[in-house]
Amino acid sequence: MDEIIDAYEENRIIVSCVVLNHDKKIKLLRGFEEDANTKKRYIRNIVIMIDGEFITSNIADTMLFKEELALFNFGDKQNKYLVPSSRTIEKESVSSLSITLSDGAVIHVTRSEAKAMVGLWNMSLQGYSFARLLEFEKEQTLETWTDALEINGYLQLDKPE
Amino acid sequence: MYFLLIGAVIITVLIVYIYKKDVGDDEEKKLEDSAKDEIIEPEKPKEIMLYFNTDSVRISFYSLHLFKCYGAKNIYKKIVVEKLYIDEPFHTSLVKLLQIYDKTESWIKSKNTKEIRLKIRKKNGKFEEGVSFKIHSLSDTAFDFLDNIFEYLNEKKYREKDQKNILLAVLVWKIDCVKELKYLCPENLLDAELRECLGGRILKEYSSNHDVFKILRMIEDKYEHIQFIQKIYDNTLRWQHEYPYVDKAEKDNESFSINHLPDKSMKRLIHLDDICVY
Repeated sequence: MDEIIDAYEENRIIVSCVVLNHDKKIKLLRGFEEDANTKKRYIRNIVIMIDGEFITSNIADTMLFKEELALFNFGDKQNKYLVPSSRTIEKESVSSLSITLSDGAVIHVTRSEAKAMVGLWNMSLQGYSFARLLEFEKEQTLETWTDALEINGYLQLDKPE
Repeated sequence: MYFLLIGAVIITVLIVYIYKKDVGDDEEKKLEDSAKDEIIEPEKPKEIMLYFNTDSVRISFYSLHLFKCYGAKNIYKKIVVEKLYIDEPFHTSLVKLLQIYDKTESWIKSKNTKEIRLKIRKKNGKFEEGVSFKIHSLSDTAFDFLDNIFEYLNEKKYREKDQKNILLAVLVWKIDCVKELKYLCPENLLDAELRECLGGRILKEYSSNHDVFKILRMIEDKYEHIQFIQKIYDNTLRWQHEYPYVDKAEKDNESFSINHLPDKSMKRLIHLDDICVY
């Protein structure tokens, strides 16, 4: 599984999407590189996207996001992405994780949602080797991501999820 | 005695009359004879020498190398070379507008696209932000649009003057998309005002530019008999190629000057068959 593949060869880039939560539009994008000769897929990047906005862009940040979800109650104000907050729904104070997007929208994640998302995360990456990801993490730019998203149809308006 | 005198006078008169009559008959006969001669021998027609101009006809055109895009060359050949719309204020105004669309790298956002906001951490730890979506190339769209409009005008047989005004109006209509020219006008203008400002600067030599602006206003006000322009535009946009694009916040806007657009002095006498060579 972990043969060295030529980084300069024109391998196919496949972006695959796992929806972690439909209501909050939280998605996990997995960037695969398919070896043109052996037709094997290698995972090259994992990214969290919320409502059309990239929250993380590399494996370290994505792992941090996942751990903040998993810790939920044990996290504090030092969290980078998901800040624990409390709000009142029908005169009852509830705690949740909140994240503010660049357009000002605030998204709250409940405890059960966080648990479900962590479960989905574990399921979606079963069977893939992370050795190549850690060894040769591909440096991406805005242009390469745009190309990859366009090739896989993510910029199309009526793309079925 | 009196009778004798009167008789002598009468006799002399008669003699004179008879003599004169004889002379008159002779002249008539002569005339008739001469007329007969003329009929028999008509004059030979004069030989006319016609000199045909065998030199090649040369007309002053702009060189096709002025344009980079195939679309612009094609439009110039169709409108100016084939139709011979070479009368002066129109010819230069059209070439100026074509050159603006030829030079520009502006785009039109596709109606069929999602926006994805990207925020990527580089290896040096700094973040790079941008929005990616799909676009159409403005120059390709404009030339295809103009081509379709010109075909429509030919089919419906508009008058030559109207055809010219509509062609210029159509080009000025989309000039607010050319981002490189926005520096010429004050900021915070509406699209319609920006069009009039830029159009007025480019078409200042075109004598009937008030007709062009009248057509522009008719397009904006959605007049019924000019609706074909909007329909053809929508139809053109539907078949345009889409390109992925990243809009970075910190990108500097390029601009180009309108003072270096083609001038009448750049025209050359070119033979019609040689238009593709020059």
